[in-house]
Amino acid sequence: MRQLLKYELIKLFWRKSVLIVFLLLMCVYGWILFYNQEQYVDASKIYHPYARSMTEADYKKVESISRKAMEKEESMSDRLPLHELGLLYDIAHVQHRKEHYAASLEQIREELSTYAQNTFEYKKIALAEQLLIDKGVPSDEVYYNKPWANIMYMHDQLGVLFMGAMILIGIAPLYSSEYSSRVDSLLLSSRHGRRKLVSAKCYAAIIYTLAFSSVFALLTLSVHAFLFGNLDGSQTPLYSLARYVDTFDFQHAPFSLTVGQYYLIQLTIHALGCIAFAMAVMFISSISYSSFITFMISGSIVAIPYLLLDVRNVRHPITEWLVTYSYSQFIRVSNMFSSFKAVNVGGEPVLYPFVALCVVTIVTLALIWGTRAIFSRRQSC
Amino acid sequence: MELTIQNICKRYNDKWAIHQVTAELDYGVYGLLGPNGAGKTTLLRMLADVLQPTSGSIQLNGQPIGAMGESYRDLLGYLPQHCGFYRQFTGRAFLMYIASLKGLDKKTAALKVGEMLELVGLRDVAKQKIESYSGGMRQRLGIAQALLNDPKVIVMDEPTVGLDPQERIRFRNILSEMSSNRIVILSTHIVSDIEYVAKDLLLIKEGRLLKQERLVSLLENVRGVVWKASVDEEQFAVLKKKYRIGNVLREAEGIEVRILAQEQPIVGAELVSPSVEDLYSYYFNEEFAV
Repeated sequence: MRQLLKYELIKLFWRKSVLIVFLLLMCVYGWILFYNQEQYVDASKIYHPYARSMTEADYKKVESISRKAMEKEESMSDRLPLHELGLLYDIAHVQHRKEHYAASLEQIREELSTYAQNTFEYKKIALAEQLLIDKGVPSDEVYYNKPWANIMYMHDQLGVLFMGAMILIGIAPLYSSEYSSRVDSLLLSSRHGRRKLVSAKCYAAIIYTLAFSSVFALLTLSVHAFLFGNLDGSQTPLYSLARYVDTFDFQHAPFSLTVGQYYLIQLTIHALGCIAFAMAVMFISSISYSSFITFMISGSIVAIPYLLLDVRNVRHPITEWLVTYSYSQFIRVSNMFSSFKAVNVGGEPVLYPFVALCVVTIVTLALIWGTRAIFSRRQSC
Repeated sequence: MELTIQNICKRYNDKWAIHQVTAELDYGVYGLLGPNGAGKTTLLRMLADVLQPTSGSIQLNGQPIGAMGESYRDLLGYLPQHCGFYRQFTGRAFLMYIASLKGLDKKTAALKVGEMLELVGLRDVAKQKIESYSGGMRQRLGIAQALLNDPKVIVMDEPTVGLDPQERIRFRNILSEMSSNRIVILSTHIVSDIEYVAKDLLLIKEGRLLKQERLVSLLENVRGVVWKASVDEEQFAVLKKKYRIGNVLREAEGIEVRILAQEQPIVGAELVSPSVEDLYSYYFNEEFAV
């Protein structure tokens, strides 16, 4: 089995197309870094004095700077570098998030009173309330976690594209090329060509996926450590995570996690999502004679939901449902944790990340079984 | 060891590619002879367990090969008609990969691969990528992969395509040596390939088995119908219309032609001993390759 796996890995990694696509994606990576270069400034020293509870005086100072800028009819970004502006923005947000927390709790309690107990809606809102209480009132400190915010941003923006492309280019030919190059007759007539080979291909696809997923994670971590000179902020709360002057994507997250904890969860779910997608591509490859057709069908499966919601922002119950359980959302991870979502499972609310994990696991196991069944009963034409 | 083909049929849509073929094979070389489209490849694919018959069964020592699964494929060496390769692999890496598919451990595989490369004369180019190989070299690599696991049942579909005459002779000798304790089935329409090595010939036409007999016996069947004559162009044109024509040799003095006829086709024609080519011509009435 080890020998078979070794050769399956060689077949996967030796493709010139894999190298070419990887290099192209590295160019895109470089372009994103260049385009966002203002973000890659270490401001830990200017943030440090504000690692304390904010006072009214701090809020007033921010208001005053903002007012002065408005009086002079100039943009704040013209006067201040992005990282200094980011500090003001973060101070202002401390006040906002405390207000928002209180308002959210009040709204949930109001809603709760409108539903009868034992209904799904009631249980769902009660769960939201409980999570919000567990999360606690947000702190009134300013946190510096910009290296991590940029790491998450890179995973969020380029992660799906990078892994989607690498999986498509590597795994789409896994079976299709065996059929088109007519090697399948040799494989099927050999002793291990129907059972162990399928396992070897499956393991090779998983190793390939994990390898590129690790390369992306390590590259992103080391590039950001280099650009910022540190990786400060892993112990800060997740709700405080944002790049300079950017949206706080996780301020409504129902989980009380630190940035470091979320990063590990994100890496794990991202890897699982990538493996699940790789298994889907492998299944399509096992029923298609053409790597190109496999590439197009699999590409559509991952790209259409991503384009519908994340690019075109098409909001419709069907597209929303499609997107909820799409591979792209699973690989992207962030949308699973950014807000409270619960699914009705037998009348009980279950948090969306857990349901999604179960659905993806079941679908993936079914696809692996399907691939095995198809290839082991295959007849060479 | 006995390989039994029992009433097997294979149907594609409305066409029977193989119809009611029954044969019994034990040790030795069996030549499957028939024109293009006769069903040779379909039959060999079924023997190689890569294609299921529509009906009927193939058994090895009384056990259906489909039910034997891995244990049958462990005894099998198969060279398909259009053998695919991984062009980026070297010849040695390709054989090592096939060895791992055949269940050979790393040490045994390395030994067998070296042995097979030597046997087919590819040792010197073993480290070159397959994409740099000529058609003949690829065919020899295909033969090597089929023999890697020391198979007891060897199925080869057009194994000599692309080989030069010397390589063909070498290949025939390899098969001849191996056949004492193996069942070797090979299909070809190059009749000289099997003339010297085949124990039995299986003549197949339009999906049906016409004959399974010893070569000598088949040749005996056509004894007395093969004539040789020297004719001019005009006579040759007449003969072509009336009789099945075998080998034609154009010389300065005229055309030397082999004619298949029950009675003397032309004055001066003399009876000759039939060759396998005459046999082919007799049963299939087609042009043949030599």
